[in-house]
Amino acid sequence: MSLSLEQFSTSDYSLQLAHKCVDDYSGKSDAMTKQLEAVELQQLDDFLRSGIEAHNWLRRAQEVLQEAARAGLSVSNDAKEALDFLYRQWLGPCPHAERRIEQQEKAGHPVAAAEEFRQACQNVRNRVYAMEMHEALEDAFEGRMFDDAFWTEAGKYLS
Amino acid sequence: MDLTAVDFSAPYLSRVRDFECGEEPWAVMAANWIKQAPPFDGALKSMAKHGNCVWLHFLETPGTAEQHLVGFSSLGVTRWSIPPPDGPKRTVGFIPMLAIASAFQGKRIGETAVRYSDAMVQHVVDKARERAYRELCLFVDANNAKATSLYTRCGFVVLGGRDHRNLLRMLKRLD
Repeated sequence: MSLSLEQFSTSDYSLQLAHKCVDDYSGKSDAMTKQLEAVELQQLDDFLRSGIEAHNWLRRAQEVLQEAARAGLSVSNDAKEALDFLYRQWLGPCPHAERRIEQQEKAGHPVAAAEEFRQACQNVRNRVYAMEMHEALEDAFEGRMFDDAFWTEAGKYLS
Repeated sequence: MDLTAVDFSAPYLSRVRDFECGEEPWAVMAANWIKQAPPFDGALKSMAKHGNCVWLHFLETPGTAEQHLVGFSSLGVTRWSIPPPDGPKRTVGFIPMLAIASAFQGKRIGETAVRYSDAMVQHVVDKARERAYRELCLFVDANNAKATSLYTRCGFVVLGGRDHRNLLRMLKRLD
């Protein structure tokens, strides 16, 4: 029996798992946001661990896809776009989660998963920042970055 | 010690694998830019789409095989209507990305007074002049004081303040 590499799409599995975990995490976030009273410490910790797990799957999917691309394998633009979308989705609950952590810590209740969660937040913020800078690069190449304020001063500078 | 520039291409991906230039968001982004292959946004994708050049800068010690990656620079073009908005389109040089490895930041080349960073910017300026561009532009994050200081030292001026992304647009006349 011969095998073809095309039969295996492990990158799809890692991306699908990342997608599933980010959806679960976002769903839990929605439920938490609706609660008016303070969230129990254990419930918050479980939520943060859910976010950390989703983040780890995202990182893993990203590593697999980027390593495949560097190795010259064909990686679809759809997969890259899906990854970008999931990173942005993951970041959605962050401000709320960070506020809840702060509330617990101010009340003297250390949150076990807080540090790891904050690191994940920073990593995803860096990733989303990079997406925005790539958009800025495209704008610059197309000349769209240079607005009236720029031109008013550029006109004087160049004359 | 000599600073040499080589054209970047896909075979160099393994050479830039461990490149790092800091932990700030713009530094992480720049390091990833040089490492990523299409469809991910990076140097190779940008070269294919916009036709810009990217150079790796190596420090070589004469008589030895020793070679250290100091950083990378790049040069592309954008087209502006001068005067805006309806003036004739003019090709303007554009630096999409430039980064210096952490180990070489703020350092000078051998016994000279020239910083690695300044030499890399000068390389791009020279290439822009060879192509007869009359202006060279770029943008930096307004919080990136090191980059703003580097480009100011190299003769770029900030024009138009910050944009909605908190970016500074900088321009240098080449004629």
